[in-house]
Amino acid sequence: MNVVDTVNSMKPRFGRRTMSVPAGGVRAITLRAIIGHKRALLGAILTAVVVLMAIVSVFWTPFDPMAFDTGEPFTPPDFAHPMGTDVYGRDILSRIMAGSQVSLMVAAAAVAGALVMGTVIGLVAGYIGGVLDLAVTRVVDILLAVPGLVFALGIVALLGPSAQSVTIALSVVYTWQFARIVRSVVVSVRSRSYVEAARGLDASPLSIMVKDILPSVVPILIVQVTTALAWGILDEASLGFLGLGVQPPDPSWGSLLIEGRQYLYDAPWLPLGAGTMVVIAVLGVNLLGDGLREIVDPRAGRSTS
Amino acid sequence: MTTPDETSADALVPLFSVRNVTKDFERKRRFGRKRGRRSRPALDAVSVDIYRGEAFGIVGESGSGKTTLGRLLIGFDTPTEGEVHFEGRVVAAMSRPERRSFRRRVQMVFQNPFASLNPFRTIRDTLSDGYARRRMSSAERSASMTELLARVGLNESMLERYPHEFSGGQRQRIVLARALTVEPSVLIADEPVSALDVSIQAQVLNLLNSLKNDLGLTVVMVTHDLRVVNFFCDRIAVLYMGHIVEVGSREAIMNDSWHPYTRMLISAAPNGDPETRSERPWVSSELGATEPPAEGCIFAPRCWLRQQLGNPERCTIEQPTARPILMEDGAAHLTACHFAEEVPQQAKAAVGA
Repeated sequence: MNVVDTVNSMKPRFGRRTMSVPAGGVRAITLRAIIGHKRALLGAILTAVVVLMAIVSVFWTPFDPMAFDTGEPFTPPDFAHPMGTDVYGRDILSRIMAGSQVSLMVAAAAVAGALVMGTVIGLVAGYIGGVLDLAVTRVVDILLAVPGLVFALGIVALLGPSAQSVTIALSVVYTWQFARIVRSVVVSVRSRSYVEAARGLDASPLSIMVKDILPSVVPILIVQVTTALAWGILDEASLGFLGLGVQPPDPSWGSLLIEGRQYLYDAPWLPLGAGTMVVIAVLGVNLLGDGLREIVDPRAGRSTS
Repeated sequence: MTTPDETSADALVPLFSVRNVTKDFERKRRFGRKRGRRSRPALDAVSVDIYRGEAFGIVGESGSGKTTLGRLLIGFDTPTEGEVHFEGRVVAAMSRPERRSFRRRVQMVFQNPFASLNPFRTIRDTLSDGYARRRMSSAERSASMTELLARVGLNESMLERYPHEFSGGQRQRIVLARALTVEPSVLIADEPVSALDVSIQAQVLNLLNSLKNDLGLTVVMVTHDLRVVNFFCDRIAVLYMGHIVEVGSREAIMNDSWHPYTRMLISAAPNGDPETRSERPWVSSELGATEPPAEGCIFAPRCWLRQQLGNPERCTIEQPTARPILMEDGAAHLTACHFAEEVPQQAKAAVGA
């Protein structure tokens, strides 16, 4: 993907509320900026709801998520069990809430790890260039040729199935995507004259990478982080389906979906809640990322007048 | 530090000395022979001296190698052959402390003020790079920035703004301010006004001129615009296809040049009046329409003088080297033409014809 195209696609749009917040850079991400941006606000609210639910579930759930026979098995949603009960009579709402901890933690930790590693690799390889860049690019190409899930599968198989293994595996898989994206931006920005000007002012390579190049990467990183978070939630579910994630009876959104799958025609509410939560989480994170990207880019058309 | 004698002595020792510099952008092929036809280097055995305190112009048409020469001077590129000396030291082979001091002494003003300012950083951030290696309290730094902005005709309130909030002329002023943050003694300006409106060009050139006079800067102006060099420069080097064809004072280059290419270049510049057609019977072909000979003068295929002299053989078999022309006022004037002495007379004849 060409950066110039990306930047151009962020050119001014009309109809945005005007704000007095100074535009540009990571510093532009303020509460006011998010509140003033419809999509960012909606995304932030959805994300907050999901995160809040995960936090609340640490301290309180309507029922013990592991307890059998909290009601009749296959109870449809009612007042006592807003999401119904499953084959063992476990309360599904409680399991969704408890499961959100695993799902969100795995996705967030995997993406955080990938973000840090990928950014460092991409930044250094892209800026220094030469043989290092060539080597990194080739390795990334090879690794990206392997389907991510298969790659992750191998790592989990090596480490043994657990939430930690899934986190590490997804982190490694996503690292190369981050590295590639960061590198591509760095290479295109490296030869800009403002980078040359910084070099001419005797700025250190570290300073140039952090102050001059990294900000150009941030808008794209934010998009990539949100996409990766969404994928993280889905991939965690996929690995769970293959029996490589969280082990039953511990809940996660993925395992809830899969548990519900076999009773889908008789008890459609079984996977409904977890599925809805995945949708809400992915949508919220994506909307927030989209909004943040526009807020961060000073040219995204918000005037200060 | 400056003694009365030193001023005159300094004038004789070049600040920049370019010696036989060739820059070839052709990449070495890793396997086998080079493909295609032989490429021409961007600069071919160029030698030129630039003195302290002067405004030196490097002019030439697109592809003549003028930008490459500017980048070699500031050390952004390294010569394939030959050396660029700055105060006696080779730019490409400076030790780390030498390079550091060189970076503080020599600064660049870029062509496009829309690309040379980081869109993600405020003006304060951009300017602060130049202060990174200087020990200053933040109050001193702020005061210094304010003073700098005033010097380039901007004000303090603009520090917190982003580049996209400024016009082209204002941006170029910011670029100038950034270059001045390290208190340099030399500015290399690569087409500093060609991206600007004509009305703004004059403002920025005036600013550059007053900065040069106030701060005692040496300015190397790389441009295709003859009006700019005529307005700004004391001495001018004319580049053609990677060769320096003529070096001399502004008056000599603009009015009485001794090289047929320079004559042609100046006559090709449009004058403001559509009624008076400039007399230029000698523009015979476009650049690139003819491949220059492997040996001999690079300008020979387009040369009107060669035609008028009846195509002397010497032009195609012997490459002319820059040689001094004795000027009436004794000024140093170099030209790379076998028949330079014929130029003034023949030019008159050509116009008269």
